[in-house]
Amino acid sequence: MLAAFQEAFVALAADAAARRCFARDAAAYLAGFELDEAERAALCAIPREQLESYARSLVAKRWGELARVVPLSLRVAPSLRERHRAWALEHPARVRDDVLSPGAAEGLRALAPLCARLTAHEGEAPYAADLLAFEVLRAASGEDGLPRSLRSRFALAELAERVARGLLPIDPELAPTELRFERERVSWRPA
Amino acid sequence: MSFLGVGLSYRRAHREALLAGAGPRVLELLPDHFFAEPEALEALAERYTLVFHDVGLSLATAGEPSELRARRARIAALVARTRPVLFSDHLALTRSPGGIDLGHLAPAWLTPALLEHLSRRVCALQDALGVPVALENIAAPFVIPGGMPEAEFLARLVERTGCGLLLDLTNLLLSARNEGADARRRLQEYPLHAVRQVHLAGGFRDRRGVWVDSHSEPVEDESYALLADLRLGATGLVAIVIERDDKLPELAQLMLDVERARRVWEGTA
Repeated sequence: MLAAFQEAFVALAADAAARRCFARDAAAYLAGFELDEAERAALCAIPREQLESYARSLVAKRWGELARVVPLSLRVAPSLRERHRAWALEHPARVRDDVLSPGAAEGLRALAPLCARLTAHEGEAPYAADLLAFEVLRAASGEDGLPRSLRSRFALAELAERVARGLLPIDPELAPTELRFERERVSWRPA
Repeated sequence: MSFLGVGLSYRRAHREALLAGAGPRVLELLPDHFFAEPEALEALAERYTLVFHDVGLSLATAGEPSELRARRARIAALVARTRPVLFSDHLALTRSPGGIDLGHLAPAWLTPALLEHLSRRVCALQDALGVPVALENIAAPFVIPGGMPEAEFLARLVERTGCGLLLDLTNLLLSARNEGADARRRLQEYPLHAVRQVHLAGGFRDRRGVWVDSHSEPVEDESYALLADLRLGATGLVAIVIERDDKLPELAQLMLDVERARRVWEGTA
């Protein structure tokens, strides 16, 4: 069945957990799909090394798209690339029905888990997660025109400007702020 | 439709130079770059012959999930607005039927069942857009064993649907190298009479020795040689487009490649 074959194939390409399961016991993995003998044989005959290499290239592409919309966050948190890779390997992207670029779409998908990881790690700047949210939401609203909002403990718009100028504030003052993103415009006020 | 000329894939960095009239005869646009801002297309459409090229319709995906129908409708709206002479997408899938998004082209398993499905999708697409549709061969990272050869599959698809081919000569070259095949011999296996558009680009060989279609390098001499070989068979060719994404040079530099491709196609190189 075409749909079942493609579901099994795409999962192998996009999901490291599926590939581990397939490598451990291909028959058991494929039993989860309604496949005939020829379909099972075709999937088993895909060269494993090439599939793995392709899978890694997909994750690298997801990162490449995201990196374009979060350049400031990447300066503040160079670990972002590896954090995204670790997350994306285990979390296939879900299709979105919108007009966003691949980078903004990936940003929205990855925002919550990446913010949680940045916040949980003491070595990261205290505003790194908020800056990531700032860049992702700004990019998304700039593209689709939908309003989005963000609450931060910091004066994020100012922080973003300083990072853009090459400064990396180490321990900025707390200044709770509410931000609103609407098309190209970012407005904010004290929270 | 007669041959319209050699063109470039549109990149935003070149917009000002293109609007100043420094561009080629044909521009290839990715419609999703204009979904949120369709009015930005108007000025380009006034100055250039347009062809649309998509990477997201995932024509090989079984069924037609609602997101893909919505995407087709967005593209149809842009087509109605600017009347490109051709629309193309790939013989590939970029998502699963259930909604996993690969974000990139994946090879399809080229079986009779897929041919049946793809024929329906292509016919529906032609009806929805009202402009000629062409399918492109991808630079496959691997081939799923047990299916038809790509050239045979495309020939059957052309016969069933009347669609055209966008023959990416660089994809053909790099896939042939990766599979240890002779690209010039393989070229002759495709239904060349159905070729409506050609892509030329440049790739590189990665650390594992695999050729990658990166669109980051100048077009190789071997790709131009394939273009020269194509002259005898591709009697319905409408446009040749040079693709460049990374390490993007100035427009004037790319125009030298455009000129070279034109001379090769006209047999004056």
